[in-house]
Amino acid sequence: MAVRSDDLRNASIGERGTAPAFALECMRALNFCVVMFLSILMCVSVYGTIHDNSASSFLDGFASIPPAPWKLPLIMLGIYIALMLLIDIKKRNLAEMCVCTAAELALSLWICVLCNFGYTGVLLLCCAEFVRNVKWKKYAAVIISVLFIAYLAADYNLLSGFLNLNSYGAYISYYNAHSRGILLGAVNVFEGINNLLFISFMILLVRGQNLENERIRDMNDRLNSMNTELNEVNAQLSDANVRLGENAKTIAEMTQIEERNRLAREIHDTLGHALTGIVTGLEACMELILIAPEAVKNQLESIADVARQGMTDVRRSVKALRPDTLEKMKLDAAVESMIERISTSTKVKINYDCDVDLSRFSGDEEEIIYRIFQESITNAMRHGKATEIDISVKQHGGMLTIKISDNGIGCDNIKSGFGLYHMRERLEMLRGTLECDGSDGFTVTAHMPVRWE
Amino acid sequence: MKNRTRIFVAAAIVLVAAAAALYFDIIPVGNPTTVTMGAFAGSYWGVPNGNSYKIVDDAIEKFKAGSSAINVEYESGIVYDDYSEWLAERFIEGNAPDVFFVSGSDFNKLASKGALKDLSGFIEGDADFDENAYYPSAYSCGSFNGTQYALPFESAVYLMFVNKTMLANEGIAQPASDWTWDDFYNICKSVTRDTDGDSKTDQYGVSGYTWDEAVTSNGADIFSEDGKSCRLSDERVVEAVEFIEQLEQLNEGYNVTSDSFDVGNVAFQPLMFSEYRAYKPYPLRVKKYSDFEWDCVTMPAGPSGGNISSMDTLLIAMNANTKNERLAWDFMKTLVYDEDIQTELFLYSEGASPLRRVTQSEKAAEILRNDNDVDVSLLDTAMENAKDIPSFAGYSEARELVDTAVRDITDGNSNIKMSLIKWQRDINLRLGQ
Repeated sequence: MAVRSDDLRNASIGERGTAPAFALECMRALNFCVVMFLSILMCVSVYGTIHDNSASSFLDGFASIPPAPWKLPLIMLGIYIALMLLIDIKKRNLAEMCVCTAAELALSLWICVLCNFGYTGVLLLCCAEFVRNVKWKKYAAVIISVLFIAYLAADYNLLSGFLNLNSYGAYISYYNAHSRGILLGAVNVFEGINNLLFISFMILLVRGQNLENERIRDMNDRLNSMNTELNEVNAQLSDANVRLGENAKTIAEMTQIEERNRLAREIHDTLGHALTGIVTGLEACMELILIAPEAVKNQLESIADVARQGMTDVRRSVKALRPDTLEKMKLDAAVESMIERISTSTKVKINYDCDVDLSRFSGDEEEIIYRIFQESITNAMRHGKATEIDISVKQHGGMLTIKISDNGIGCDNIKSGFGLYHMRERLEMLRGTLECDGSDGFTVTAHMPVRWE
Repeated sequence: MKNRTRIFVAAAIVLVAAAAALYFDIIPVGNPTTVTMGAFAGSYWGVPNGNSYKIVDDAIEKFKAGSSAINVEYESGIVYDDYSEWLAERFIEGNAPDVFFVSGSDFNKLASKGALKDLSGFIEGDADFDENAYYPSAYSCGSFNGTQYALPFESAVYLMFVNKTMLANEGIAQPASDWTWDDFYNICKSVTRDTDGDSKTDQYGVSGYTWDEAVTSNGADIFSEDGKSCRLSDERVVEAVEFIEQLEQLNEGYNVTSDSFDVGNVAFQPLMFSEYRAYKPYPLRVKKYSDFEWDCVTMPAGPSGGNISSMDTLLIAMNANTKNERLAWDFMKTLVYDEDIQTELFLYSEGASPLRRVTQSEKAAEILRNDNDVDVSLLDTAMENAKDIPSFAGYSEARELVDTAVRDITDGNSNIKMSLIKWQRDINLRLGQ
């Protein structure tokens, strides 16, 4: 991504305020003064000739009738201003450049004709202005050549061989030999100053371009080093990307294992338990059927109860695996809906006290919170035979505390079943803890850090 | 930015258009129904004339008769001697008149500078106008590099003035109109003698007859049309110079001037027809040539030429930058092509009309017969055979060079032809510069 010198050249070199531009401004001013001086001089010569009654011999020096003298300075002024305006127009493309340059050349030649080729410095000014504004290297050489050839060819002695031209000398023939010498010399001096200014302009321009090229080289160097740094950072980023990809894969595998474990837990909790009870009951039935067929009937009723219970558990598990309620609504609404459902379908009284905005938790947190409520209420009803359950949800600092206690039978020796183990395991994944107390009824206390604080 | 460019382009176009309008003089100024005219007081022919603007005024009146709206203006009071300067001033000041008189010597100068309008278009487009109505030499006076830039207004040919009294005294017959160099030489030879017995020659053959007249009547052109070279080594020029030398030898070194002719001591002198007309009528004839009767005759014919005279013509041209060219052309035509106006030349001026039908008319013949005792057929023949005086820039300087050369040759003893070749080379170098 290198910066081309062409793009920048015109942006800075030759713009107003720079040294070459100053040389050019001087050239403009000088040329203006010279052409106006010459036109006024010619005008004065003609009127002087008429005053002196020497028009006839004066006219002999002319190849064609000169324009009316009073018009000369006006025409000159008009053309010169028009030329400066054309030069100042920003050329946006090659066509505009060519049209404008051709027009500038035409106007400059006209000025030369009006000066009777006694002074042709305006063409050099045209060259300088073109060099300053040029942008298209390929065509620039051709146009510059045309302008220079025009400047070189615009010589009275050369052109008067082919064209019917008046001469500057014819005008100043009005003056005496001494003044004529001074006037001819003055034009040569003007021409010389103009040439000097042109040379200064070119030197300053070339120098400016060298400095500019150096600046561009520096910028290119800086850009290159920045490029290298960027490349290194890019390489590091792609490494990190690869690692991230690998991590994601690992996480996916782990999630799969976790999910399998969860399924295993659910199956063990529900089907395993029920089936064990059924198998044990049926074996007892097989023994009893010969001894006391009447008792078998009772026994089978018990087994049917167990099976029914198992079926209920399976349904609950399936429900737990697919927390539809949670999927359908927000956590706070889901919890309230669950409590309401239980309160209406059983005799259990649930006291729910929550001063935390549950709707702000993310998906995995919502799920564990819901599970804690679900599991604890189920345990209280199933194992504790509780009739009243107190639920409180509080937040202290960055920690959410959920406390669920019942008035059930409790248990002295807490045997962590699949349910409790599952809850703890899930909480620990979120850096939380779970405490159980079976001394007075059964109390489950869960602590979980809040992420969104 | 775009707006700025538009404003710049528009401003530049306006400025250039204004400058071009000024430069090419395309702004219509002045009154479109007014033609300005450049005219002079006095005679073109250098003879006294009391009717300065009579013909011009009559032409203006006749021109205006067609329409009351049109007008012709001219600045009066410019004498002929100042006219060339006045015209040059008007041109360099940019306010030259639409139509103006132009002398033969100014014509080439102005035509070469593009100051004159090319009349070809008007001539071809005007069914009334026939260029063949003019004597060819008079008409060709207004032509430069093959283009007609001016029309002849008034012409005068050189004729040979004859001292009738002297010839009668010598018993010599008046020369016929087809006389030759030999006839001329023989008369000159027989009249050149001492009449009062003091053994000094006091009666001469000719004064003022130079190589110019001899070359013209021998059918030669000494200068090329552009005046860049001369043809001194032309056989006819050599003959002419030899003839001049012979004539001069008759005078034995005495320089015969026109004063000698005026007092009646010279038999012949070439003079312009205008001079003849000016001095022939009363009272001027008494003032100048009082002691003898005189007449005029055609120029003697050289062996390779004819009875050819030089002719000078006053031209009328149109300004190349005129704004009323149609009107200007019509006015020009009134001046140069209208029979009544052209006939007035014989009444109020000293030249002759370059229009054949006017000069050959009965009215002109009558005027000339009554006032000047001139035979119109002589004038008609002389004008028909005339040759216009060269008018290229620097003609008078070139003529002086040839003068010097001829004087050098006739005064010396060197071979004329060889000397002419040498002088031709020298003069051509000068002319080419």
